[in-house]
Amino acid sequence: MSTGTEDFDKLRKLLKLKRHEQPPPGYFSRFSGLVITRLEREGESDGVLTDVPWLRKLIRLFESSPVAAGLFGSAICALAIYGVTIANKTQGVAAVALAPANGVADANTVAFSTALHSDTLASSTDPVFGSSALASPFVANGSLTPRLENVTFSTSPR
Amino acid sequence: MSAYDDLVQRYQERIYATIYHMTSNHEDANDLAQDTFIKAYQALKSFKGGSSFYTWVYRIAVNKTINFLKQRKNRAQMSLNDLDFNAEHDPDLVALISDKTPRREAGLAELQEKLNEAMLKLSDYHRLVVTLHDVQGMSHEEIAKIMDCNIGTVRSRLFYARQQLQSYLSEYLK
Repeated sequence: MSTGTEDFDKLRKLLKLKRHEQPPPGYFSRFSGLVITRLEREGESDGVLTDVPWLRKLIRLFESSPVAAGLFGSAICALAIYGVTIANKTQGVAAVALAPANGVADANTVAFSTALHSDTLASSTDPVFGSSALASPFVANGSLTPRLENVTFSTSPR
Repeated sequence: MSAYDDLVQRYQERIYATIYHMTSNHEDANDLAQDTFIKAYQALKSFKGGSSFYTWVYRIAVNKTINFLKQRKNRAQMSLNDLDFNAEHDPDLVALISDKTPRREAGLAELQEKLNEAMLKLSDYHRLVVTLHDVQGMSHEEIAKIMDCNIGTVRSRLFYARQQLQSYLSEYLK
């Protein structure tokens, strides 16, 4: 193999042309300023992350490796889908458990089961109860704390 | 931060030029050169001093550029810088164009475009060797350090790249 300079003399002269390609005037006087500004801006935005080293490492890993970021995203999606599937199954089991054993459902069970399986909540423009109706003589101050009082019975002889 | 500002100013022209000659695009070279110095700053702690800082920054620039070019692949778009005033008076360049074109400026601009097109036809590693050696004037040893390969590989890549360029630009080299 010959790498003699004379073989490529003209080519090397032609390649000198590339040395004359220069960026716009003043470009290099601004360049370092742009780099420092970007560094300072990134330093500010990273301020929160510096307190959490493992999170910072994780973000760096994702920045340097798109594959790792993709895998992490896929894992999160898979977990979310799994969670939704499990939740749906659990709701199905709850509805079955509420159904009476003899197959005759009372009105409350049917209503509850329907609400579980419907996407929208049933609503009415006519309120069934006013706020005053919620007040109960058995409930103190509107809370659901049961009130216990001693009661004595006496029987009088006839 | 002002110390790093000095460091950037010291190397910015060579780093920018390497990236620019690899991409033939000023905007891409600007972005990649900035990214290089930001990455170098963030990785300063990992710089062990095994090589010179200059070689280390160069490696970052070269890796970033090659990764960028792999992603860009077939959508190369040239955005060439203007030639400086001295190009018109370079005797080597004048000799190459004076016989062919009556108008010197048009001749140089055409030559610049053809040369960049030919450079972009080379593989990334062959273009890098030509850029570092024939355009930037680095030694084989320096290039071997930057590319993390042996000197023989640098020499053979340089020879092959020159052969390729010579055939692409044959009509301008008669």
